Amino acid sequence: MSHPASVQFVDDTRTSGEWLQAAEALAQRLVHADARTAYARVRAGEYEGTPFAAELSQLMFLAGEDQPLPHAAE
Amino acid sequence: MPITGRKPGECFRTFRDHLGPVVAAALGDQHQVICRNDGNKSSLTLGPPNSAAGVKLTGSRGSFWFSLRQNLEVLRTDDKKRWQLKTREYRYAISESNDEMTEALMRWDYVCNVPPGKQWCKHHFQVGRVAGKAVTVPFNSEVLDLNRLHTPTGFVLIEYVLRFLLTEMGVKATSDDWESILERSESKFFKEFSGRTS
Repeated sequence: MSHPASVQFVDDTRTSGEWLQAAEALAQRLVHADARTAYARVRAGEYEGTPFAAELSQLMFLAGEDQPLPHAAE
Repeated sequence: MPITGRKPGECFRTFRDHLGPVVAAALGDQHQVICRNDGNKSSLTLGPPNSAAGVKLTGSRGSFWFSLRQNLEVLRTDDKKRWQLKTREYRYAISESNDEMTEALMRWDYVCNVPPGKQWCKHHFQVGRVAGKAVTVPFNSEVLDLNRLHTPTGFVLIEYVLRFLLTEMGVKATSDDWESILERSESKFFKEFSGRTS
């Protein structure tokens, strides 16, 4: 059996503002709310464990809308 | 020591070079990892673009969806000479459905910043609700809702979850050498990238 070398990595580079727009579109499409409102609900435990919550958290991270990393974090 | 580099991109490339071969050995090289980037941040997601639930796999109990996400950030090292990779969040999830609003059945999570008011362990495993109903077990005279438990874990390596998919979920590995490839990768992680598990 052959040994596959690697998976393919596909880059998608955008500005933080563009990532926020993607978050807005996602939140509007699925929960009919703006991204910050939806993200606050996710952080409070709503939509827990769903792909939506994971996707929105990822987009808000890229948009710089999540909490900053503590200086001494692991 | 953590992954470091002279430039942010060097840190991300080192991580990719580590991740790519183990995922390919376990699940096949037909998969894509989508890398969403913005300067010093990179979010990796296994699966085709716009598939929030990840990739569809077939195991011994039929098909399911597997999601792998890593939110990575690079920060300056203390001496300001290099960049250092930090894991801000990871999430590995197994779902029966690819519905965007359906809770995963099992998931391993890490969040660097626990939301305000929450006191659970940053690294944890959780069982989801099935069709909106909690999975419960009897406990003394009470009922224990497994969804409410953030069962603590150490830092869960991707290699550990890939091993789980192959040995517990019955996914057929792409490479005959998957076990040695995973073991070498785990060893490399601890020797070269981190001496800690949490």
